[in-house]
Parts: sequence; C-alpha cells; structure tokens
Amino acid sequence: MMMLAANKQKLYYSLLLGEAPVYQTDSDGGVMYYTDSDGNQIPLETGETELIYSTPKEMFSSISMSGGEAEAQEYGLSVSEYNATLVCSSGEYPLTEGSLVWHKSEIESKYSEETEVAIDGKTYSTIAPIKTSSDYMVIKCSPSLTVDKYILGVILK
Amino acid sequence: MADTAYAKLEQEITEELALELSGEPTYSENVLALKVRNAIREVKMKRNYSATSYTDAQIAEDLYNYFSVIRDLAMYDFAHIGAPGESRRSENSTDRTWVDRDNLLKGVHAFVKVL
Repeated sequence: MMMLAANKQKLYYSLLLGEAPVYQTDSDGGVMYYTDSDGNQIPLETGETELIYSTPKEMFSSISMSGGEAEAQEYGLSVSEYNATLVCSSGEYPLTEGSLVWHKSEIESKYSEETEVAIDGKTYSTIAPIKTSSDYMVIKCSPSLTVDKYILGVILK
Repeated sequence: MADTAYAKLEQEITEELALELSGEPTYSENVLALKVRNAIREVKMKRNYSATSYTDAQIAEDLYNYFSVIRDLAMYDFAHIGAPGESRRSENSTDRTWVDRDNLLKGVHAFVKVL
C-alpha cells in the first residue's frame, strides 16, 4: 500500500551485520598487524568483540512518537518499553530487529570511509556507524500484507 | 506559439510551487511538473473550449485567468501523493482529511454552444 508522501520524514537506517573482533590500534588509530610465516598481514586482536552495523542508508517513512494501549496490545509490549513507531510500505526497507534508525542526530562512524570487516567468515564493507550516535533501535517488527510496522526503542546517549 | 504559452504558464506555476514545496522531504521537481501539467489539462477540459472558436494562443491566454485555480489544483494533487482517490487517511497516529477536490474548480465555468 502506498504511504502518504506528506507524512514521510527523512531518516537513515543501518542493519546489524554481526559481531566482529576488535583490533589493536596504534597511537594514530591505525590497525596493527603482524606478519605470519607465509608473509600475510594479520590484524592483531584484543580478544574483545563488538557489534558492527552497515553503512547507513537514506529512507523516507512515517515515524510517530506516540504510543497507546491499542498499540501496546498489538505488539505485546507495554507503553513504557518503546518510544516510537515507524510505518512503511510492505517490503520497502529491509529493517530487522536490532537495526538502527537516525532521525534528528548526526551519524558518527568508526571509520571515515568504507572499510572491509570480516564477520563470521564473510567480508563486509562498511563505515561501521557508532550505535550511540543513532536515535532509535528496532525492537520489534510487525509485517503485514500492505504495511510494515516497526517498534522503536530510544538509544540512550 | 501555443506550446510556448502553455510552457510559460506551466513553468511559472511550477516555480511558485517549488518555492513552497522544495523543503518537503519527498519533493521531486519532475513529479511537481507532472501535477501542474495535469492541472492545466483539467482546467482546459472544464472550460470546454471546443464550444468556442478560440485559437490555441487564445486558449493559452485564457488559461492565465485561472492561474490560481491551476496552482491550487496542482498543490492539492501533490499533497495527495500516496493517497489517490481518498478523502481521508489515518496513518501512524496522523489523521488527514482533504476538502472535496471539485470545490477547487468552482470558479471555472464552461463555454456552451447555443444551437
């Protein structure tokens, strides 16, 4: 179903790619490597992991800050557990639970340009946006025949 | 010459509306121009110039008398994108009700031919 254009606002969304190891960095912020016996440059890991998100993409959708008892029953959440709802045409955007949404805040990222990151044996190219720079995270998806509804929880900064 | 006259009317209305609407998140100049062209066609149809002996140039000149009608019609259609044929839309806690579109054409009177 078409959404009313007049109700749409410009937002940005980023998908959760997975968990990646945190690499050691030098004083300039560059990743540190060691060379193995075959001459390959292997990044030094700290032993910690972090969640990596995809490069934010622009989206236009209807976002509402209001909640209510009817919506709480539909999603199985109390009104205190979520802060906004996002509605778009069915299948328009590939948002999933855990995706980040920027509404008013500026996007901040770990890398200044697209950088290859290895996650679970796959390589992704991302600027790795910082989670706390976003405004909301998708905590529940409710797809239907004509529209997709997303329940958003605010990200504490 | 008539095409140039229509193009001038279309361009003027599009430029005026672009001033108002270009800040909208989903604004598109091409889509706005489409709505303006359609509004011009509709007013032409309503005026029923076939009942007159107007030339294309005279028709184009007459349409300038309905500048504000065409402008309001195009604005209405642009604001209606995503809800064609609807008079009311309730979406994600936002309720919108539109006035009857025919009201915008009330000032446009058709020519009639007396047989």
